[in-house]
Amino acid sequence: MARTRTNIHTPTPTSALLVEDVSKSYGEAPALDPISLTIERGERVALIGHNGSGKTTLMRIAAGLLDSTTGTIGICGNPGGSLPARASLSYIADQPTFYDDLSLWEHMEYVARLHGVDEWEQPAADLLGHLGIYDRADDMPNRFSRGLKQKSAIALGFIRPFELLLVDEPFVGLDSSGKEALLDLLASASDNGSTVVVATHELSFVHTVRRIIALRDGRLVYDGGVDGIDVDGLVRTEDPAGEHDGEGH
Amino acid sequence: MNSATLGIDALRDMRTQRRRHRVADMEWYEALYRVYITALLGGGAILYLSDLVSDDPLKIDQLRNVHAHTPHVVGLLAALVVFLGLRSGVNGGPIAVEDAEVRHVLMAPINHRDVLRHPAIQRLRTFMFTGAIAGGVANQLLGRRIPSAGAGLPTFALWGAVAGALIGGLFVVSALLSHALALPRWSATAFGVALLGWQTGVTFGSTNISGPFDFIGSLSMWWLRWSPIDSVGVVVVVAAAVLAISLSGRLSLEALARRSALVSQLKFAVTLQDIRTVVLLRRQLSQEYMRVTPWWKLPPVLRRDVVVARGLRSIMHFPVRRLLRMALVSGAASCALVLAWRGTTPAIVVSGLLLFILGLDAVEPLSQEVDQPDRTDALPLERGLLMTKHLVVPAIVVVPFVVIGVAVAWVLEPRASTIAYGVIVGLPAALGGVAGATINAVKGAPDPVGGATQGLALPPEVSGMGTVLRAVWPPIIAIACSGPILVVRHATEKNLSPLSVSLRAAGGVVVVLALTAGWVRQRDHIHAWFRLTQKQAAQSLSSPEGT
Repeated sequence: MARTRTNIHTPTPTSALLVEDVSKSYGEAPALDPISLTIERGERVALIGHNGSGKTTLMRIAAGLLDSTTGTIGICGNPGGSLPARASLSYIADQPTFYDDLSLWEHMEYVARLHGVDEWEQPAADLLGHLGIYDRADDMPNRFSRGLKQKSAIALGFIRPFELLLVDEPFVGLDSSGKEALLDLLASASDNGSTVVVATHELSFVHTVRRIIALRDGRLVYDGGVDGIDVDGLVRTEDPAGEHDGEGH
Repeated sequence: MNSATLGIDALRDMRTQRRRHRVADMEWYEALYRVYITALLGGGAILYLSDLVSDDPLKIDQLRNVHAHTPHVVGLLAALVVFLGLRSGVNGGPIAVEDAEVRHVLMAPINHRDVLRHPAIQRLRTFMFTGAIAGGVANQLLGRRIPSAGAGLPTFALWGAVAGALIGGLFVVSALLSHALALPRWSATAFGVALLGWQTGVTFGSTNISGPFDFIGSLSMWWLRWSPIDSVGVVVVVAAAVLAISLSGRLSLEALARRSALVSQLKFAVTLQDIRTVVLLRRQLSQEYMRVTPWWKLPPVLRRDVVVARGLRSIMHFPVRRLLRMALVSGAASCALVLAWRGTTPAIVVSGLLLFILGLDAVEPLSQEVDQPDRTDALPLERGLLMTKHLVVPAIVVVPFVVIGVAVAWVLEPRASTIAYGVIVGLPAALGGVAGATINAVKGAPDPVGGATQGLALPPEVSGMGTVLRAVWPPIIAIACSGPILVVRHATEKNLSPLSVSLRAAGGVVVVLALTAGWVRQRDHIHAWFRLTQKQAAQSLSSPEGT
């Protein structure tokens, strides 16, 4: 069984991400038990956990896409979902979403300008080139394959300024060159002082972080350093047989 | 220029650009064809309705009745619309923006009100326009029977349109307010029920109190007489609309994200007349989840037959909301049957449709089975037999709801005979709803590709009619099974024995139910036989002997 210990960091008013007693339930089904954690500016964090552990729920609540049942979120000193919080946060979701009627290049322009970026063309060309999809810029991303959609979503996540980057399962569907390009982008975001939180099982990324947060069945089970940690053990599900009361079978 | 202003500019530019794209990409031939179909169907409907309304001018006492009751009845419609609007709001309505709009625009540092005001106004405009058309047509039809009161038909239509627009607008306003103010589901429902109850009491009770929405009905009669006090209500609605639009920035991103994905699927399912998908998507929209903990764990005796046990287990996971809705639907169907008994024959259509809706919930275990064709195909059990066994549980499930219906009927008609006839007529009617829902579930969604190719040689009006008939026959069965109430009424009017007549009529329904069960059991065989016959016929035509 994996070690289960948690470090409760002392929050500062301008922490990149402040999660206070945040929980989420759907009817009587809890998706996330009350969780509190703080991620400071400039940190590089891997959020891990088995399928259904609550990673995406926590990510979406932090991004303002889900309302928490209890608790509050702070993004760079602003309430989660507020206008300044949205300006500080870039969220790359696990399911990329695009307009049906805009090309990838038009998406890049739109998202950049929505975030107040006036000089967007060269950075957009560089980003698409780095991800190897510059030649697809005039195509409709909604018709792309899974991997190309993922690369397009990554490009859209990086075309705008941010202080906190939340990325949910970004390596799924990417080829090896795409993974390398993404690791480069994440590294340069960290080097520029941004906070990077990635929900992933990708060991090549997990080994580059200094902090791991692990969730299991909607509970925070580990929050600490990466040295000596059995990552696979943290991700593994517990055998639920003992908790099942069934109907006498 | 700050980043928020730049963002607004980008939003405005992109909306303009996308509008241009849409206009440029528009298939004008298809748009004109849609206008033609709408005009054809709309014109046909108006002609049909005109035919129902006789041209005889109303007599003085009838006119007095219209004068006295119209404000309450139209107000009741408005109260129902407000109730539905409040419910839509707590379920995340009434706006549905694109998924990409949620992800890229609403997560950008732009004021949500600047983004959502436009779709909110658009939705308000659409509902008000639809209401205005409906109200205008209704008043115009009524106007044909009003002796000349100095007003021409356009004046009738105008005030009907104004009232209709207000009713349509009320839906959007109440939905926006309940969503933006984040009303808890129970409080929105309670508020809606209170308004509906008040207006219902005023409409059907003998009281001098005004209903909350009487002013809209009164406004629809301004061709007859002016009532300046109604303007106050209009001002309140307009003020509420302004408030609702100004609060549109407070709409929940979670609800918008959920709806953005589901509403387009819902529209597609409605287009395909795929009732099962509509039911499933509606449940997702209103976040109606199955209970994790079953109401009751099945004892071994009820687990002997695996299919029946599977069905019962499904029912044991029904959420409270669904059970309450089923009880409400059952009570409403009972009211409609009582109305039919009292002389309003068309009320059996309402009753049949409500019991069909009850049936859609009751046949959930069977529907779940139909949803998983790969699983059923892999079973060492004939599909028809499996589906037939699944009919046992829905037949049992409706019994408590029949009891509720009979109780409601007894409240409305407090006589001992009500209970006897309620059971004799109500149980087959409820089972008829289950039969209709079963047919709907087993026949599955229409095949868009197959349907299109089958109808290639036919004009769209004819092939479309076939699709419509396929969709409507399950509810027609449900409506037909509500028919015995008319037979009982007729027997009472003719001084025949209602008991024996009702038993015979219920016997007829039992035959329909048996035929339905037989159809479920043999459907695959019938289809296989039909396909084989078609194939043989095609082979004989293409063989040398055939030529």
